[in-house]
Amino acid sequence: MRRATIVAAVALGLCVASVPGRTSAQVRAGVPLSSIAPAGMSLLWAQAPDTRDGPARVAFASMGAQSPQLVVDVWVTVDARAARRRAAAVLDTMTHELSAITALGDRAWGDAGLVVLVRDNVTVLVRALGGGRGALATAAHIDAALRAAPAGAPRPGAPSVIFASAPQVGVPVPIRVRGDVVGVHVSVDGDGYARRTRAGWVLTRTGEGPFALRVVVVDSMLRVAVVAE
Amino acid sequence: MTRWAHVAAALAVLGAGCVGDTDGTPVPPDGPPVITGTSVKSPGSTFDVARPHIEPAADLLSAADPKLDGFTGWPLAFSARYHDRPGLSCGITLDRDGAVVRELPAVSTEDACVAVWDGLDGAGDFLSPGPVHLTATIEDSVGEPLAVAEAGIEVVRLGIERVQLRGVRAADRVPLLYREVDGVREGFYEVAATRFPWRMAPDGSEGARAVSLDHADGTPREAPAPWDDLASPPLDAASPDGVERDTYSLPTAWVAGALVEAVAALSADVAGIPGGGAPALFDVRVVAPEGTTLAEDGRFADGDLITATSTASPVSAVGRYDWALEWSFEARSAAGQWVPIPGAATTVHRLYGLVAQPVFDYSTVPHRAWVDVVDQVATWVAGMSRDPDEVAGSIVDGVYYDLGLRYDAESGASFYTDYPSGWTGAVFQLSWFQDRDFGSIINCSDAGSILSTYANMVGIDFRYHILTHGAASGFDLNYIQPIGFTRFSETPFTSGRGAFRYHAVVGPPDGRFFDATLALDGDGTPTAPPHRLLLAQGLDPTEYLRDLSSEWSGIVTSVDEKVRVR
Repeated sequence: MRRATIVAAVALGLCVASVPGRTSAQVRAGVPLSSIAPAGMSLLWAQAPDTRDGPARVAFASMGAQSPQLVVDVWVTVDARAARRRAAAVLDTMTHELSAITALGDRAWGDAGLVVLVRDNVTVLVRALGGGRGALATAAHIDAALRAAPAGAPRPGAPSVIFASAPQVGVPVPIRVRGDVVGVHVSVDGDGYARRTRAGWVLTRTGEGPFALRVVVVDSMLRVAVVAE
Repeated sequence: MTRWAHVAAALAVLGAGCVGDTDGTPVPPDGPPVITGTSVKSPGSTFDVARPHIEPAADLLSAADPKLDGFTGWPLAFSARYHDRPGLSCGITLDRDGAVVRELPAVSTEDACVAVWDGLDGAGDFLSPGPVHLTATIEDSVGEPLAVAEAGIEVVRLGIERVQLRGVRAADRVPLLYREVDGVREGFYEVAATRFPWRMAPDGSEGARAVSLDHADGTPREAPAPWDDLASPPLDAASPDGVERDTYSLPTAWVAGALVEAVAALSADVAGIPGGGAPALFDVRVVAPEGTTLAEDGRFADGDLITATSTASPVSAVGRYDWALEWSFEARSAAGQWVPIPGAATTVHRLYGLVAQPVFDYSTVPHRAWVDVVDQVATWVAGMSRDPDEVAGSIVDGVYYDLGLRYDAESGASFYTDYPSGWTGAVFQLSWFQDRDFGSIINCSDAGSILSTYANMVGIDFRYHILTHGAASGFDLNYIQPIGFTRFSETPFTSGRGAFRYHAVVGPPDGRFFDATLALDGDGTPTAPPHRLLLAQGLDPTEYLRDLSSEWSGIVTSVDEKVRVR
């Protein structure tokens, strides 16, 4: 009911939220992916970045739709200061100066099509695609999820990465990542490359030389971690 | 046993030789067997110089493959003399091991008796490879044979099993990358520069005895056409990586102007018998496909490799070219003449011309030339140039006009480009962009990523630069026409704000600017109408900045690196 109230309020342009915008000292352990899906939408995919600094990116669409209608980037940082720095960096990449939004997050900027918000140690970028106008409502929903998110240092789990250590050249071998993982990205430096298949990532060596594997994961709390390098 | 002794023995089995003459088959020590015919003459009769006479023509086609594409029939030619006698006719009978294969009516001309055989037996099936015995007969009006000649020919199977393409200069071939397999994003699949791009082979499910040229029922396999899917290679669920490895024609990319060598593996496979259609009685050679020369003498032998080198570049500029190599053949007649064999094995190869090898700051996959990107650029340039500036100019035009993109008039936000740390290290989500997963609204970072990445993939060294005001949070705008807009305005934004907080452009190391985000007003007075649309396609930075902003002198250019691609 509370979520519905917020959504309705934002939709009316009243900028009403249950907690006034202010800087908070709270540190969130992350935000559960399951808690941020906008009403009437389902998760299409969750994407891990290819570096430690990138966001956890999740895409939502109306039930049955195949193309994303909302894309949400989430950075769970170590503290609120890092989150604000991240938000500033995100704002820098907008050629238009975004308007501040009151009563959303600790700070928030944007409009119906795009919102940047910071709540505690979490920065969120919500983009409505194709000229959609649902960014504000979604941001309000995510802000509510952030407020309800568990407190604590954001410590991603330690998923295990399993693959054949000396695969034959040209023969793809699976890279299995086990643990609390909703998104994986694998890249390879050296004599090999990684690619995604329906069964997961595979590694193919392209020569006898050395190779180095980098595995970046996103867990169900939307925390990014490099688990193999 | 010498080669010709083998041939002689085979022909002896055929019963080939001179009919009426009884001295057997002459076998020269260093040449093919000579088969002649003569008039039928009753013992003891007086030789009549006016009697009809027939013998194999010197250019009688000794070997052919009726399964070749474009095979129009096997001309069976005999030299004949009829002496103007009326009522004569000739016919040719084909038999194998004494069993008649076909009886063909022949056309009589003043000095010849010629039939054309379709390569089929009486039941309408392809005759299997092997020797065939010919008997040509001139008969009178009541069917009395007046002259008979015999000859041996050989049905063979000729084909190409795989083709490797390589540059005369090794670095001229460029690896290509498919961006997905089986619809899986980031399912990258590299076609290495060493990969055979063309192959014809049985599917793994056909069993161990299946062969390259024919299906199990003997019908010829269809040569693969260039693979048209630009995102994914052909699939085969039975292969270890899910990608077709049996029969395919994959595209290749080249530095424009490259001379290309096509190394073909010859095959004489017939159903159930690998190599079973190889010429055994007569010499067959490969004829250089048009526009190529052969490195070897062209002698056909099952499993041999033969190299055809282009005499001019088949990929002369940036563009898409379908290079058809028509591998035709000749057989040496019994009289020693090389005679063309009807039909050919044609292999068609899709070649993309690039400016140079791709240029990236990263060596990892997916930093390769993507098939769909290269194809797009090839379409835009259409073989008109390989000059980096001209090609880059075409890419600017293409991105600005053809991709259906529109500047984000609300926020000026990037949808496909991320900056993980400041302005450096930009990451371009190309896999998502190619599918327009995040829509067609972009900003300058995206346009810069698209332009520079497309350029990098075709060998143009483009980097991105960030323009900011050195002392303010942005800079004002002159009249511009952003991508997707139809008229000039001092602001691209619905808010009416006539300024950019930053702008991204790209360009080569010499510092010139290319920009597909917006068109400048290039009439010299960019602060007022009228407007002359000017796309930045190698503009001097100062000229560009003067047209872009009245605060041009305060604009600082930073960052000089290539985007990282996902």
